[in-house]
Amino acid sequence: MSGQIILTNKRWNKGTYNIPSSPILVGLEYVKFSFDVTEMTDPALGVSAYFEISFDDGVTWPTKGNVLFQGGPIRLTDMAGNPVVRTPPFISTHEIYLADPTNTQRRIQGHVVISGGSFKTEVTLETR
Amino acid sequence: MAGAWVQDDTNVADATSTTIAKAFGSNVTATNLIAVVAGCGGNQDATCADSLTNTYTPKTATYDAANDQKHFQWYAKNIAGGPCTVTVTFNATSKWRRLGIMEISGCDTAAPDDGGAAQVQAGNSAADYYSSGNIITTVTDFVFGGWQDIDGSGSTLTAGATPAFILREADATKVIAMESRASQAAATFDANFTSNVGWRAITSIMAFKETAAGALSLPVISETVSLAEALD
Repeated sequence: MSGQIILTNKRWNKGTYNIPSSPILVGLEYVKFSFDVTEMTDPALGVSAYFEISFDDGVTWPTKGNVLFQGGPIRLTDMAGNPVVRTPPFISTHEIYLADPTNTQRRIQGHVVISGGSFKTEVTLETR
Repeated sequence: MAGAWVQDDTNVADATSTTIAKAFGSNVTATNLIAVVAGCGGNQDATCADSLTNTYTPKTATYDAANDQKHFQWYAKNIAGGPCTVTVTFNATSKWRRLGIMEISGCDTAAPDDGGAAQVQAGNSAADYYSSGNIITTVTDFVFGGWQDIDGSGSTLTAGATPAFILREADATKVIAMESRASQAAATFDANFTSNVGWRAITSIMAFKETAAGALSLPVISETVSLAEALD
């Protein structure tokens, strides 16, 4: 899987982080938000991301969306209540598929909001 | 033409397998749109197909590492008509497979996509509000909302009130559900549900452009007349 880094994978402190307008490489098919929820066991902790996609080099931004992950305890039982063995890190992901992968004028911009603590977060553009 | 719900169905299978499938109760109609929501245990990849060889476009894929379950959305535009079984195939065996399928009429057959989102929420209280997160749409849309309980089962679900959705189906165990709203004007809004139990859940939304008003199909003129005949 080849990718294009939009927000570097590191521990980001509580706050709002802008994703400046950036070109999307031809051929990439989805934007992927990754959140390390290993330490997000408190539901008061959360990460949200807002993004916009342009297909005309930033003149218009017709595709918009947002993503939210709310913290919670790492579940060590399955849906039936049976114990399961799981090992960290626990990385939640959200992928939104992008239209028009051959378009040379696609761009992405937005922001990520970290609330309640600090978490490892990454935003990448990838291909299937 | 306004978008309209036609039919839907769900399937839930907790045992381990690599697929989950469901047939529509009635034949689907050519040029309509099929919206699909699916879920599974683990962080699997998945593809969607049907017995009419329609092409499904992935919209979102959301993995919650806290509860180790995943949630997917696809749609197929301008579909072929006939008896239709939709199948989601995972790249590895998976428990807790869920599938919801909905046929929708009156959507743009060329480029219906007008936005999508999904959110993971913890569920904190006895009665909780679950939101897909807002999308910002550009035209009048038919809106599809999906909900997957990734924590428990058996809750009582209510469709979103603002904006007003219609709860179309929730499976018997209430682990997968779908709602819809037709003719939603361009706006910022979400798909939302209320559950009487505060389970951890994933809520999602897809908006599909309705066929533009006045975009009537004209009859094809199949007879040609020569200039000489016309002047005769």
